[in-house]
Amino acid sequence: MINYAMVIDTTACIGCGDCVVACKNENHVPAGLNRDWVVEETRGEYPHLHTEFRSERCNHCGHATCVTNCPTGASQYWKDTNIVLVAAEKCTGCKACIAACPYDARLIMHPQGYIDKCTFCHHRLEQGLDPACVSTCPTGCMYFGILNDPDSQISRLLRSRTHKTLLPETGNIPNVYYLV
Amino acid sequence: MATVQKDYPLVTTGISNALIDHSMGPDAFFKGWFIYATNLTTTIPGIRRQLEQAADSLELIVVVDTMPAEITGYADVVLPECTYLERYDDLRNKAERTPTLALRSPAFPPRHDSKPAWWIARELAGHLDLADYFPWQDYREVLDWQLQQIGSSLEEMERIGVKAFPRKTPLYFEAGKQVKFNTPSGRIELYSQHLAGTGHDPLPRYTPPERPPEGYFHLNYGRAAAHTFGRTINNPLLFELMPENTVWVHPAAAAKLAVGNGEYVRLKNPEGTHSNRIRVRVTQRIRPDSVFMVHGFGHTDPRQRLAHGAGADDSGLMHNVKIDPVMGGTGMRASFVTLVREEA
Repeated sequence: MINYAMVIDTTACIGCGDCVVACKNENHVPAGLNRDWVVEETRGEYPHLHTEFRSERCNHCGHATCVTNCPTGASQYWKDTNIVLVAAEKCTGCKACIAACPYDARLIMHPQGYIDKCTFCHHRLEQGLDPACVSTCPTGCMYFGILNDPDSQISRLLRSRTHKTLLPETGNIPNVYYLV
Repeated sequence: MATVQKDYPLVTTGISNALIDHSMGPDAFFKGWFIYATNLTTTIPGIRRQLEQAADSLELIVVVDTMPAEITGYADVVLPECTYLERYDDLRNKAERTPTLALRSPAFPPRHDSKPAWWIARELAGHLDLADYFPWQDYREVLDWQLQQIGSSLEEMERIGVKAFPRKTPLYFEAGKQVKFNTPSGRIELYSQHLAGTGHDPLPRYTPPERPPEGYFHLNYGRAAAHTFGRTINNPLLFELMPENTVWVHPAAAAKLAVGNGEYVRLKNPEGTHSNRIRVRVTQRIRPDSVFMVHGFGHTDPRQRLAHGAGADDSGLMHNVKIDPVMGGTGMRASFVTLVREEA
């Protein structure tokens, strides 16, 4: 099994939203809907502040509750990987996956009547390319690779840098890591 | 230039305010303006009255821009330029950390009846008997010639886009090395001979900023990473990222004014000028005595269908613009505003 993961350096992110625009262009995401987005989180009181920008998306969980809760099998793993895809023709739009996702990472409804989400640009991976958001990022703060390859760039980054995931307590085993 | 900027002998580039001052009235030094990609109404605060006077006395105002803006309304002639994605521009030539040359080439052909700046310049030259200065048909020829001089070609750059070159000079000053600066003494001057020689305070003293009147805030403005000045608000994808600007207010100030996050207010300066409506963003990221807003919003041209009326314009609120006596630069963060709640 290949475990793909994304590593995002929050100390280099400036919150420009280019990852969002890249995704919308690459995947023809309809106006008003998003597969990825940027969260700005400020802690502390003026003037002692810490602000973090986070580019967020589907975590392509190792234990994806959207897959286990999908009644039709539309939410599924792609090949022998952790990449979670939605088979549009099997999706009835019941929204059980939206309720099951701790990250609110799914679009409410694609106009064509199915629930849509980030695919880690699996169509680009097949061509040996990074996801569109990663390849577009002007600060170079996003990395993509194979987590269960100890020599991959992301594995080396995670060994050398302090990092976190979002809501690890859910047990979903998220695969988007944030360097802090 | 020296004529209109004689009060600023140290300045070697044009000072917009001085150029405008010398464009009004029948005896004005300037007779015409050629405005390239600058929406003067929002780049220079309080300019609208001056613009109207200048428009009356100037014999010709030409505006080159990629889309309708407030300034195109003052123009005798508008020359529509295609966007940067539709044209060749000069090579990007930057030393930076790693010296690079980059090609700026079109991603697709121009839409509508718009032309690149090089085409506009060359055609105008032809009509002015200056065609000898443009001994080429297409700017691709110029770029190719330039690239041939450094052993590359347009063909190569169309393929690779960016070419890096090895660094030949050190990135930083070497420790202990005597470096000569462009000053009378050749050293870093805390006491400036240049300033002393032109009658200015040679060792500038701190001038405290004026404090806002009771109930008012310092008006600060800045940029957002998603937008480039006010020029990209109407782009559908970037508009979605940030469809309007907000006015940042410290929680203590918001509580005192009884305004909540996301609520629409208008900003009012001490002269009574009101802004377009703008949403409040309550945040710790602003001083309690100040407000902040992103520049470039509040477009008034209805042809910018998305940007029209979205958010508020900061420059229209600037009643107190400071001019740097040495360099002529404008200090545009000396104005004050208060928040006026919108009646529901």
